[in-house]
Amino acid sequence: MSERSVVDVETVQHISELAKINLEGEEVEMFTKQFRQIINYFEILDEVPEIEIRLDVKNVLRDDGEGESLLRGEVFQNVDENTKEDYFKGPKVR
Amino acid sequence: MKDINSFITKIESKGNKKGALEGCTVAIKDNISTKGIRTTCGSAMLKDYIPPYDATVVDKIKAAGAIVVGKTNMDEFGMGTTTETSYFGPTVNPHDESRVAGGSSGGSAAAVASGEAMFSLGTDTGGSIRCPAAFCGVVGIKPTYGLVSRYGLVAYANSLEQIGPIARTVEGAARLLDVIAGGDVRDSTSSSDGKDTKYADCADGEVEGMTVGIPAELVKGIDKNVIGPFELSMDRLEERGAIIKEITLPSLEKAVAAYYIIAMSEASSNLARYDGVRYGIASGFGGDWNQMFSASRENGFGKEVKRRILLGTYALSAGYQDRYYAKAQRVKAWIRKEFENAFEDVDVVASPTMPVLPFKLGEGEKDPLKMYLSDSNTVPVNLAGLPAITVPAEWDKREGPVGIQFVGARFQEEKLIRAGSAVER
Repeated sequence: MSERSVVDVETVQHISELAKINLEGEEVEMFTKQFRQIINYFEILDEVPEIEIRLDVKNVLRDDGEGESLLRGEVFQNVDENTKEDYFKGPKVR
Repeated sequence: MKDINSFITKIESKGNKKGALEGCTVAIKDNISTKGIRTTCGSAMLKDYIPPYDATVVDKIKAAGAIVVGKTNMDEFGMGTTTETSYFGPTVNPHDESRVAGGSSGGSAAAVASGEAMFSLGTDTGGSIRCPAAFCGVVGIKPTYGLVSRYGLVAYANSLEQIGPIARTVEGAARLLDVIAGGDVRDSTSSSDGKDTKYADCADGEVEGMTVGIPAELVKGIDKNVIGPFELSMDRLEERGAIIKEITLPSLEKAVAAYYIIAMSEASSNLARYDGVRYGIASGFGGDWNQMFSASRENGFGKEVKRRILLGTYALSAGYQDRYYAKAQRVKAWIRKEFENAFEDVDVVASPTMPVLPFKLGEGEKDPLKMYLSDSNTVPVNLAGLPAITVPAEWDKREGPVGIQFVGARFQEEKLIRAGSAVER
């Protein structure tokens, strides 16, 4: 048995930073409560027999060659507010 | 008829090719890319996203003469069992407007059940074709992992998901599967196994001598309104010459936990691309990159998507990987092994598709774990990469539809189609 995990408000705030999703105070509290319950349920995986993991996989490769690619204009149609002269626009790097 | 909200985008189009789907109307789940037609994944993040290319399955159905009638409603990014997590509002069950259509392909199943389309395409990561097909009283097939190309499917959990057909009859679903099956150079996990099979020809109800295993783990704790119709269907198979056998697959007790850890982990990685720069809604350029991403993702994602990305991030974070992700992979291997052994003795495995009748609208909102647990009978199939079909049983019209699930060995869709067509006759 592994040590039980304790999920608290700080844990949820820490993961939200790792996942880059801002959360409101209310959401942090709701997620803390729900994550405790869900992660507690995940502990049923503590009792699993040793299984040999046989990976029956092979590489799938193709010859390198020229093919059609997407048109620049079509790609940028989804970011029209965020482009500048055919570049993606982002915040300043300070 | 009341609007059941099965479509996010309706399309006026004419099929102009001759082929297997000539004159057939097909609805497409809104996480499958359609060139020039917005593809939202049921999310505010992609509400204006227009793909610059068609998914392989879309190419194939168009080439077969299909008339595409629209993009269907879904749980946001496929994350849900009810279609209530959609940014565009829930899809209502066409048989009972107080109940959900199921999810995540709720719009695709409801559109077929209500007659808004003859066929539809859904996607199934942990039951997302089979659950809504069962709840709406139609047929759905989750193909073997690799039978259908995923090129152009917006990824949620790549190692688990497949695109598959939904129709009113087993023969209809098999006919659409014939069109979309086959290897694709653009999806290196696709396979050309099974491409020469004529699935539609297998819908002959011929089950004489077929062995059907019923795992004790999948009939335990099932709602009485579900187990009754299930048992009647098994009796019908027996009358037609099938041999029913009870089996046990103890690994399935761990399937829900393993499934959610793997699916959430993959989601946390796949959905990292929605940063408000290349896709999605931008939220100001005032701060630094981290601040901009975090604000875009706060505004663009709904609660269930945030929940799964966060839990996936937790499961993969330093110190927890071995405890969660590695163990989940071990369970996945165990489930695969148990199914392999079972298929030495039985041709197909049968169970109720869902352990409950369709939920009432709003019922699951407060309790995510309860919703996750209702996936107990569908998720093992995705973990093992196997094919499965859901076929409506004869159900009590006062209660709601009940689906019967058959699971087969890899690339043995023919057997599922035979067993399914025997139940519907």
